[in-house]
Amino acid sequence: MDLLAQYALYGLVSASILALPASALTLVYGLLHYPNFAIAELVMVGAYVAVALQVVGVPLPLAVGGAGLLVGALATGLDQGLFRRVRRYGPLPPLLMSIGVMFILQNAVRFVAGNRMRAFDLPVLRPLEVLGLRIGPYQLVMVGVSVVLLVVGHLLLARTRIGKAIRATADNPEVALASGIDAERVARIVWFATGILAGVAGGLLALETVVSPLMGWNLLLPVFAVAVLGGLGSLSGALVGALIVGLAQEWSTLLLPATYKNLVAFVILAAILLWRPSGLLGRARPSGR
Amino acid sequence: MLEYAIAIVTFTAIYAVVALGLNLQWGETGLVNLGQVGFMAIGAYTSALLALAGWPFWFAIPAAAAAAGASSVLLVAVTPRLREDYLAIVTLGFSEAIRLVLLNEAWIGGGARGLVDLPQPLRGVVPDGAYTAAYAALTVAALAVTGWVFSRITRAPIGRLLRAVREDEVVPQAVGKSVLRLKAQAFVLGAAAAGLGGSLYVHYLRYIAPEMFTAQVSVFVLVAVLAAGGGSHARTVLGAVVVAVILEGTRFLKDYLPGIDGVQLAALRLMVIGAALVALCLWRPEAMARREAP
Repeated sequence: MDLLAQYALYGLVSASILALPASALTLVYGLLHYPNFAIAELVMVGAYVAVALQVVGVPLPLAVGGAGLLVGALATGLDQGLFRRVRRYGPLPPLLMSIGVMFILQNAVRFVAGNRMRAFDLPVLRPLEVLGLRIGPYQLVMVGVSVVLLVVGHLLLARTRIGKAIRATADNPEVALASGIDAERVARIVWFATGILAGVAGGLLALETVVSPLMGWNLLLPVFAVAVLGGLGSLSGALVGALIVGLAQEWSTLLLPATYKNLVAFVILAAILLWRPSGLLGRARPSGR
Repeated sequence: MLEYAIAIVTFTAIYAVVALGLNLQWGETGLVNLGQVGFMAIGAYTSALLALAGWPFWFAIPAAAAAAGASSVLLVAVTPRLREDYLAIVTLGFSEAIRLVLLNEAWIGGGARGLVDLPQPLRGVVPDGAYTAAYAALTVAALAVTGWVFSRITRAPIGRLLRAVREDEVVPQAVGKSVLRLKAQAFVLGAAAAGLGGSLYVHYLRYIAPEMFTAQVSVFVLVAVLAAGGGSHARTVLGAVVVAVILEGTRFLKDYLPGIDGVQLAALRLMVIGAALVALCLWRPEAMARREAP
């Protein structure tokens, strides 16, 4: 029982990391209707940027924030330079393009930084004990920052003008356009937000794990499982999905080797597509568009 | 140098067999499959284990194709109505799941260490000095047979039906054909070709390990098919030649590029493949979109 609770806590930590790129994936999907396979590589790039900044002496919060902004700029650049050009041809061309981008990013990092594992230059801290459960101080930071970012993102989307414009465009691009919303500006902002979410997720992830060129790839299936489980396009769904996948992955290590975590994610993904292709909280998919 | 050329011919023929399989699924029928490497792995492990157990190659290699084809039935059965973007992630995830199982279940094929000293077909029949050439001839023969069978299929009435599935699923339904059955047939045949290719690959290298079957390989094959524009068997083979030359034909470049080590050259090669995929999407996006508006 204690073990179950302890692993549930680890599951919460995983969920806090998965929720960020999954929200990013689902945001772009909700607005532009294609899945971005390069999302996990943006997380990887964010991790490298954060570690590189911190190792040369930038304070940790600035390093993680800087990673978010830099990856935000990178994501916007990718959309403007590449994805935007094929957007109107349906989901497949941008999807395949994102796989090409995935290859390029992963191997550009490998070219520059090699296969060697890297990590923040940080002291090792003793785990805290709360109610008989252990949690590392860095893990607390991961959960805290992630929750703050998700709450801020939610408020921006729910309360601000631009948030309204994003939701309106996602709901019905023609009507949004007719009411004077600049769809291209909305797309740029969403892509920038996507990059911030992914970049910060990378910086946070590097607090707990070593950084390597393959870390993005290892995140891809869980992130997709989360987004599909929540219903692609649904932000609140992504949160619920992250909790379910995070818990399932951590609990599975009680029974299976830890290397099967991604298999667990795939089984969830396949099961949900069989049972409810629009996800748990997803609305009926935006068909006919 | 001759050995090098023979090796490139062998790799090219193997990639081309797998690419022809994807072309039947995607180019002809419009079924997205990003997990072709999973079927290669199933075929490769099937024939490797059979050959190690003493079964003759005339049985082991066809069994590899059959096992890969049969396993794809499973995938078709659970994903009959998935849209193309979901099918992309499911097929990719499926191949990764296969790799994870092979990696963790050491009782199947030795886990991460894999299996070494695999038996080779024709070994002992042809003199050792000519063996690599004979193996290259074997792979080219396998390619010729695959190409012949697939072009017979696509020219037959069923080929027209497969293309009809790609263009608009309502049409074959209207003339009383089962779309699901047609999709399954294309998927199984394409996966069987991947199984054949996987089998030829590992018996050539004489070892097998899960690391050989990462999703990268599916993308190599994908680029070959997209470069060909989808549909034509001959051009698909040409696409495979281009990809194989980028991957295998650049090994000697290391001597000419000072200051670049092996890891960097490998990374550069994969960046070229990624850039090729991006360029193909920019160049001919309408060719890979379905004909009907999404």
